[in-house]
Parts: sequence; structure tokens; C-alpha cells
Amino acid sequence: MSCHAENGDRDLLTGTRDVALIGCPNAGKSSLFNRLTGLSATTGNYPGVTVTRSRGKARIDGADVTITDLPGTYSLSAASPDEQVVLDHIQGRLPGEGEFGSSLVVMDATTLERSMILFAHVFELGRPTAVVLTMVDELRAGGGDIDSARLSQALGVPVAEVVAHKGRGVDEVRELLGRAGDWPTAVVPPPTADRGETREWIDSVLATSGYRANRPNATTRGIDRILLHPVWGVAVFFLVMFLFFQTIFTVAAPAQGWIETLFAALGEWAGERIEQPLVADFVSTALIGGVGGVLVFLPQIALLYVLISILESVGYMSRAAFLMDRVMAHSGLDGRAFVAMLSSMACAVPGIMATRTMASSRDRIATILSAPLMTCSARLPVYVLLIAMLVPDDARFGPFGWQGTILFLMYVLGGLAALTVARVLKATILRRGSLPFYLEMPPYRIPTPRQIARAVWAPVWMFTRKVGTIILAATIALWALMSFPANTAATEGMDEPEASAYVLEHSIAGQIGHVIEPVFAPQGFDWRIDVGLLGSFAAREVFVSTMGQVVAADNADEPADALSAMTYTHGPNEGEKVFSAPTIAALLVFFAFAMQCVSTLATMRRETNSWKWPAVATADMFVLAWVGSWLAAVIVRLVTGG
Amino acid sequence: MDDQDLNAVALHPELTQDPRELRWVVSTCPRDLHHAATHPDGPLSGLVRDGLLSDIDGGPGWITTSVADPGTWRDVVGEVRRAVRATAAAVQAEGVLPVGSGSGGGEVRCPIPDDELALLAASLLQEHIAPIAGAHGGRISIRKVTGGVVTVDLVGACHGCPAAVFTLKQRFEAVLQRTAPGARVIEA
Repeated sequence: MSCHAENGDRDLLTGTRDVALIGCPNAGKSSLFNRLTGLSATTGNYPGVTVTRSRGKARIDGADVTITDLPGTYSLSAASPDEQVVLDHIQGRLPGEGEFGSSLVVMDATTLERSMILFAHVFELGRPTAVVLTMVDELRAGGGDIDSARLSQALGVPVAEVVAHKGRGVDEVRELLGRAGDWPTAVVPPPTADRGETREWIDSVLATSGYRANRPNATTRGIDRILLHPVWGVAVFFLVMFLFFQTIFTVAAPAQGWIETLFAALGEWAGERIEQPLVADFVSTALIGGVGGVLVFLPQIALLYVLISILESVGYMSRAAFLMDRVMAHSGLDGRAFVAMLSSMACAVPGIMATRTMASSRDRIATILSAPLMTCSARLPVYVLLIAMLVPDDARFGPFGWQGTILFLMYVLGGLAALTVARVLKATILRRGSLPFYLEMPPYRIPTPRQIARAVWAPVWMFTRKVGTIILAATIALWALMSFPANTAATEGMDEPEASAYVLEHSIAGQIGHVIEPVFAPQGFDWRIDVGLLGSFAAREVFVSTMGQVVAADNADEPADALSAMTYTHGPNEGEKVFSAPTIAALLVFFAFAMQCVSTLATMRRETNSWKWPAVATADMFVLAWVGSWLAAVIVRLVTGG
Repeated sequence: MDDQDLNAVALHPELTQDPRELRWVVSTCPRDLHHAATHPDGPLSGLVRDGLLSDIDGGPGWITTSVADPGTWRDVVGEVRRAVRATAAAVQAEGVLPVGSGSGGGEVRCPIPDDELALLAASLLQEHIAPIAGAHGGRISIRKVTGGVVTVDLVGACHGCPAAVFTLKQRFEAVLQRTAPGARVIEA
């Protein structure tokens, strides 16, 4: 569920052998690809995870073999953008590339019949071809069987068995790759024109190979009776999600404390050593108060991905998609859209890319426009900061904390908003019937630590990199805007907090904040929050770093405490606390709905090939965010009598 | 494949040592196809007369066809496939027998007469089962074939070993049923 390790359109090196991995969704291509190349393509136990090509090299017998992991596809009829990618790649129609070398068809032994159609299409293209059978252990464990030597003879290509996630059979595949250029081409192409003939060919090959499908084992069926139950299943789904967010708050809190302590110590250390006042301010305010304030949320992000990857690799996400297919039907979209929505819970960028599996372009655009409303991990630091100010961490009901519950409700809010927007779009500008949706129910699998570690490492690294690039740049820019003009003459004689408040108020950022102030006055946002909002349109986390800088002079170690104490500097509410319950509620809702992510807009532009849809998304989400946050403030004011 | 209509003929071609020859495996019909394949009035003989094929042969569950010079398989495979299919369909259509209650009822297309079943069982035994029995110092042989039931003798280390009987007999039956659905194997 993250962006890819390497999405290459690089020219191929001459003299290397080039092999494409082709297979149905969820057949195990990416697991095999990772094993062969050592790269980490993201794998998941539900279809649609590989959304574009990943390319890597495997070193075999001293020579490089270039391996391309293509998106999963059931056929080569090119109904969806994913299938088009596979077809274009195979036929060498992509820019800068010639025809590719050999195809390695990855077939899931537990659902072999469906893979056969794809094999027929691929083999027919006349390229050297071989087959890798995955999940053979599972087939046999479930009482099924296959004679892969006989299958090899019947298909007329080499067949290797592999259990990629355990690493078994990978050596055989490497050996096979070593002679990729010599794989057989189709002397007699399988019949693909006549559906009856294709059917008979598949039946015959499978019967000859002694193929017996496995029955889902008793455990899987037993668990599914509950988890896929229309009432119990939905109840369990919400329970799982609820516990999910409780865990994020309770488990990550101590680790967050350690990082805070570390930054506090760093700040002290730097403060003692740096003489030049401007540099000292830059380090303590921008670097430690700003960037450090965002980095503090690393434990939450890591934990979010640990939990998502466990649910995903165990096989629960497919069940969730199945359950949600019915819910999605109300939005006019199907379960495929749910996969995209689910990915957007991590980050809208892979979520939007996951829509490539959707064949209907109208459904696809409706999903792309609504996916950014799903609660992504960039909102997490903002929510955690705001929720911590809204309710104390010891506020509980029974065994559950209120903080985790509010976070859960924020995720529910994001989900409902996404569904509603999709529904409205489908009912108005993007009306059309939808295509059938295939969803596989994989057997439950116990994930390996390696799988989870890989799944967590990539997004954690991406987050760290984002902190070091976009967020750092935006933070530095805002620091400069908030520190200049320095007004040294005016602040002479003031004590330090007073002086920095004066500088901030009269800084460029402060003046901009004052100009914007009337726009968000109904929500209770003051000019300093407006400066934070301005920065957050680059990336949501910048809000946290800006607020950290605003209060850095008072208390850089505990920004939440300092923010809680912040009061209005002028106007009718002068002297009252800015971060009152209505203001915090309004901010939470604003962040739930607003389009504050440059990367998402760039991805939207790329995927829809126009600026029209990013513009539509920005506009409609801003209206939603403004109205929603205003309503939230009004309602909370009424409830609390504030 | 149990839920398929009885007119279906499952077949696929396999390559052989001879690049001009294809071996068509007819997995729904384990009957000896030699007679039907080489019959002068059959569709395959017609293709030989038309100059598409140079040679035809047949056996239990298979038909081989050789493409005539200068043709290639890509050009003629469609027509040959239809001819092989028609040949097998004609043999399959000869009769449909009800299967005993043992396998849950139903029908078996293309039932095998006992003499053909004996031939098929012998070749499968030789190919798949004898090596395994030999590895354990034993021998398995066919005593008789009657009414779709193959009676076997177990000799040597196999004899009297309940596990050996179980595995060998079961394995043999599984292999046999793959090509001859409804056939059974019992120990004498």
C-alpha cells in the first residue's frame, strides 16, 4: 500500500535478458519478484496491489536478468488501464522500449483454471514463455493436487513450483531464468478465439495434469462464516477498526514520549552551544520545534502500517472489501473502489494509483475524486495533536480511551465523506452502470515477520524522507516568513517571549495571517492558525511544524501545552483561549475534508491527464471543509454553551 | 468437469520428439481411438487426402497427427483440432453408461470396454505404479478386469503390508480414474 520501489521507464541495458512477470491479481508475482531481485514491491493478500510496473535485476550465473513485475490481470483484453499496461509492455509499445524478451506466467495453483486463460493469451503472443506455479503448498494442504511435470508437457513450457513467501523453489526459478532466452515459443498456440475450444483445452490440460482443486480448509470456512456474515461480519469489522485506533494511541504513546525527550535534550544542547541568535532561533524553532515536532509522530505512522500490513497479509482486507462491497453499492461504486479507498487510509497517492484496476473510467474518476477524503496517515499527526488538546489522555469509558475513540470517529467521518462525494458524483456528472467485480477470498495466511517488516519499512522511510524534503522546505520557508522583518529596534527592552510574539505578529507571515483572518473567523481560527493552514496546503504535517514554531519561544518541548495556553491577541474574544473545544472541532473537520497535499494533486493530474479534476477536487473539498468546520464550531459551541 | 454437458470433448495438443508431429490428448475419452482416427471415411483421413496431414495414428485417449510439407502447425492447427474433436466426439457418443452408486451416481461419457480398460490399466501400471512398488521391493500385477473393476495381486514386500496396499491401490486407482472415470481397483 505504498508507492513503489522503482517504477522505471528506463531504457533497457543492451545485452541483459528481460523477463516480464505476468499473472492474475493476487497470484504472488510481487512476492516472487521481491525474492528474485531483493527489492520490495508491495505485496498484499488482496487483488490490485501492484498498480504499475516495478523493475529490478536478478543476478544469475554472473549475468543480469531484468525482471519487470506487471500489474495483475485476468486476461489481455485491455478492459482496464492495468491490462493496457501489461499488453503495451508485452508488445513493446511503451516509449523508449523495444519488444520485451520472455514472459514468466505466474499462476496460483489454488485458482489454476482462471490463470489458464491468461496463459493462453500470453503464450499466443509468440514470445519465449515459462510458468511458475505458486501456492502449491496450500493446494496440497487443502486436499488438492497437481502433477507439474505433466502440466509442463501439456502446456509445452517449463513449469517450476514455488512457495515464494517462504523462499522455497526460488532457486529453481533462478535456474529457469538463467535460460530465459531458450524458453519455448508456441508452436501450436492455445485456442483463444472460440470460447468453447478454450474451455475444452483448459479442461483437458488440467485433467491430464491430475489437477484437483483444493477445498477451502475447515478453518477458513469456519472463520468466514462469522467474518462474512452480513450482521456479525460488519460488527466484527467495526470492532477490529475500533481496536485498531485504540492501539495506535495507547501503544505508540510511550515511544512518542522518548522521541520528545530526545528532541528536548537536543534543543537544550544546541541552545547552550549556538551563540549567533538567528541561527539559534532557526535551530530551536524551525528544526527542533518544527521538523522535530512532526517526526515525533513516527511511532504512530509505523504502528498504523504494522496494523494495516497484518490485516492485509492475514487475508482480512479481502473480507473487509467483500463486506464493504455492499456498503460501496450505496455509493454507486463497487468493491474495486473499496481497495482504492482502503489504500487511501495509508496515503491517497497509492490509493489513486490503485484505481487503475477499474475498467470504467467514470467510476475511476469518481473514486479518484473521493479517495483523498479517506483519512490518510498525513492527517494522523494533526489529529493526534488536536485530539490530545481536546480531551486528556486519562479520559476513559470502561477500558477504552476517549482519544482513540475520537480518532476512530475521525476515520469514520472521512469514510462517510468519501462515500457521499462518490455517490453525489455518480448521481450527477459521472452517471453510468458498473461492470462486474471479481473479488477473491484468499485463505487465511499467517504473515511472516519479513513481509511485515518490508511493508512497514517503505512508508516509514517515505515519511522520514517527506519530513526531510517537502516538510523541511515548507518549514524553513514559514520560519523565514515568521521571523522577518526582525524588528530589532522595536523589540529592544522586551523580554524574550514578548519580543518573539511581537516579531511574529509583525512578520510577513503574521501580516498574511491577519489578511486571511476574516475568512476563518466564523470557525474561531485566529491569524496564527491561518498561517498554519496556509503551510498545510503543501503537506498536512506542516501545520504541526508551524504551530510548533509559533509556540517555540514559550515551550518547545511540549507544544500541545503551549498551544492550549495560547489566547486571542485582539478582537472581541481577546484574552480567551484560541484552542477551545469549538475551534479544535472545527480544525479537525477542516483537516478531514480539505485537499492539503501537493503530491495527491500531482498524482491526480498524472492519472487523469488533466488539470480539470485536481481543480475540481481542490474546490469541492475546500467548500466541504469550510462549511463542515463552520458547522462543527457552531454545533460544539451550542453543546458546550461556549 | 462433472457438471459439463456430455458433448464436450476435452482435448489439447502436446509436442513430440518429431517437430512435425502433434499428439492430441483426449482426456474425456480414454477409449482406443486408433480405429476412428485412421478410418478412411473419418475427418482426419480427409485432411490427409487434402494434403494438410501426412500421417495419423491413434491409441487409448490419444491421436497423433503429422503436418504435411510445406505446411506449419500455425496454419493448419484449427482445422486439425476440429477434425480430432469430431473423431473423439463420435467415439464418445457411442454410449453413456450409468455409474454405480459407489461414486455417488451420475453418468460417465465414453465408457471403456473391459478389454480396452485392461490395456490402459497395464500401461498406467507400468508407467506410474510399478516403479514405486519396485522401490519398496515389491510387485503389483493385474489379475483380471471385469465390469470396470481391475483386480490386482500384490507380491513381495508389499504383500500383507496394510500401508502398502492402501497407498499403492489408492494411487493406482487415482491414476486410472484420471483417464477412466468410474473404474475401480480391488485387491485379490
